[in-house]
Amino acid sequence: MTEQSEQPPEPTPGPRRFLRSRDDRIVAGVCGGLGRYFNADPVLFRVGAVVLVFLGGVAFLAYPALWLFTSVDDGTGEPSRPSPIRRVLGGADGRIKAGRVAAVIAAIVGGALALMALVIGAVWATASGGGAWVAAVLIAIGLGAVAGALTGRRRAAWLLVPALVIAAPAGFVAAADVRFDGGFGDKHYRPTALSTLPAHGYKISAGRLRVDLRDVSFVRGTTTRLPIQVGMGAATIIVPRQVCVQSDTHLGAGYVNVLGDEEGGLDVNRDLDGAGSAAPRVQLKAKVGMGALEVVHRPQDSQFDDRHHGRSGSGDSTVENAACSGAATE
Amino acid sequence: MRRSGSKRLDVPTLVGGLAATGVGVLLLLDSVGAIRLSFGWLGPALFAAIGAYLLAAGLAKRHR
Repeated sequence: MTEQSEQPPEPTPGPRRFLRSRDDRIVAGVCGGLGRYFNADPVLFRVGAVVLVFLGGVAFLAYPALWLFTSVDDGTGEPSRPSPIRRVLGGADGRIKAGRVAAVIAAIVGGALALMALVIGAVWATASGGGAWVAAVLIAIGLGAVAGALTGRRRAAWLLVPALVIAAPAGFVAAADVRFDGGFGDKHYRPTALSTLPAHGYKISAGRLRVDLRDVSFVRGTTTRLPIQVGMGAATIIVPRQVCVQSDTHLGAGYVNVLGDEEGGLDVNRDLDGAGSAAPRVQLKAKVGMGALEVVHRPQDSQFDDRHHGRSGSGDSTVENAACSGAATE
Repeated sequence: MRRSGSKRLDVPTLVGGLAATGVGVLLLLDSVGAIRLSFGWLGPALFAAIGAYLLAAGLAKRHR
């Protein structure tokens, strides 16, 4: 018998596998892993991820997904341990267990509901005048985290999650000065006389406000004050063409257009002071938390009224606030 | 010994807690009318708070 010398076959390289980088990482090693997988500089992927954050926020979904579903490289091109999703759903061996899946889904749903409740509660309480209570809760959570940090309780870091979830919406509502005062939904008013205009003006907490003043007979040489308050939403004020509109508008966040005088953004303060003419004046004092305010002569000039939106175009809207200069005709 | 190690000061949480307390104080002052909070104030305050936490977390990770 002749001896056959059998040499072990050379290991063929398996298909390339995407793994997160263990050594080249800023957050979770996803971009480092992509750089290695595509044999490219990871900086390119990091720059791309930042760009995608601003272009629709795709990176906010893609990065966590890649983190969840991929393992970390052990340094030799092999996974060091199962991916986070497998570890959470199955344990150290990576086998997925139905009981754990149900528990994780329940925890995610419960957590999401709890966070939503915190956001809604913070917004509602702050806008309804309970901002001091929201602030007190936030301070208590912050001090709790400080106490936990000083005593070395690492779980105290989790207190920062509800702190952020409360602080961001409550801060937004406080900065925009949103006030829930005046009801919700769609409110349309069409007063027929000066005497029917409410002294406190028109208010809405959230929704759509429309005040049509075309049936009111304004008196020449007089000024009618009209306060408008919108918490969140849009308001359209329709004024007769022969009325000169003066306005003092404050918007927390949104857009204002008073007869063509428009501005948008955060912390918008817009004053419109009509020049001296004998025309009747409406002095609009408007406060909008988040949303929009527009003053138009005709419903079809409205940008927010669904019934009339897009019907404009006759060119009349270019004759704006003409009464202030005495150019408007009855 | 391990017990004393786990009782170490957690700097990121300390910074985050102080930042949350600071934002809470701002909201409290606004709600009682002592200051008028606007986006010009709050935006930088929130970003500074988040930045301080991330900075502390990054430095703590480096020292570990």
